[in-house]
Amino acid sequence: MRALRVLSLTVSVLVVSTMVGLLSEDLFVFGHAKFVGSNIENGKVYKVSELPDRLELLFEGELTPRSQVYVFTVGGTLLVDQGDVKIEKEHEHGGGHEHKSKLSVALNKEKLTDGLYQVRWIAVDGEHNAFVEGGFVFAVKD
Amino acid sequence: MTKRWLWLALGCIVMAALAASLAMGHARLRVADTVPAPGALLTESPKEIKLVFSVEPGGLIPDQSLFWVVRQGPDEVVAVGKVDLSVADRNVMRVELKERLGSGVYLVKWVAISLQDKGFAEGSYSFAVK
Repeated sequence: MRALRVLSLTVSVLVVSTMVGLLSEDLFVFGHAKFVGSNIENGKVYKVSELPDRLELLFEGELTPRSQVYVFTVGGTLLVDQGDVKIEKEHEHGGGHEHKSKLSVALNKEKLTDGLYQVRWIAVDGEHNAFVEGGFVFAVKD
Repeated sequence: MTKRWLWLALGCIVMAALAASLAMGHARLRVADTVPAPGALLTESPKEIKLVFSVEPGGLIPDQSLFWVVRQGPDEVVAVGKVDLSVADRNVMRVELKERLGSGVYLVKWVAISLQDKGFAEGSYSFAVK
């Protein structure tokens, strides 16, 4: 009886740790470059018509072509972007010396049915070749 | 009472299995072999890094399937691997290392997209050079 309780408790802790790990993975970012924002918001529910044609991510720093972004279904793990990743320099409005870069990819809206979608980005900056990855989740409900 | 604990344990195991399957990604797309092997402690720098995938006919999408070799600590990308177009099955990603890797721990972070159904899978592993 006691052994069963210990087993249950251990398994429960493992499950909770796994779930927390999975969910929190996208909340943390490590490395040098800095993710500033996106035109799709973390945790927001969209109608397909409300989504932009291209997902745009803004970063502080100059990104190299080694950077990538993917959009895929959370459950089915199928890609729903067009794969045409672009990296553009953003113009400064404040007259500062900091670089900003925009990493973008077109969405395949025909594949965006009701469900949860994950954005995964990998940014490699031009100054130190620093590797930074992160992501977030959004939902579609028409 | 005992039954209740048994059901609770069973439920937790099912949830753990579900969570694990979510973490692994696309069911039919996985790494079959790597050079160097995960966890390898090498006495000298490898000349190349190679990942072989188990994937449906058609292989991987070249432009989107990539891996990054990241030196841990400074988190610096030292190489990027791409689909080896000389392999007919398009199931191999490779990078030839032009400069030898210095002593340290390296993370290989990979993303693979299958051509047939645009299945997405990602993962990572580490090795070290003494």
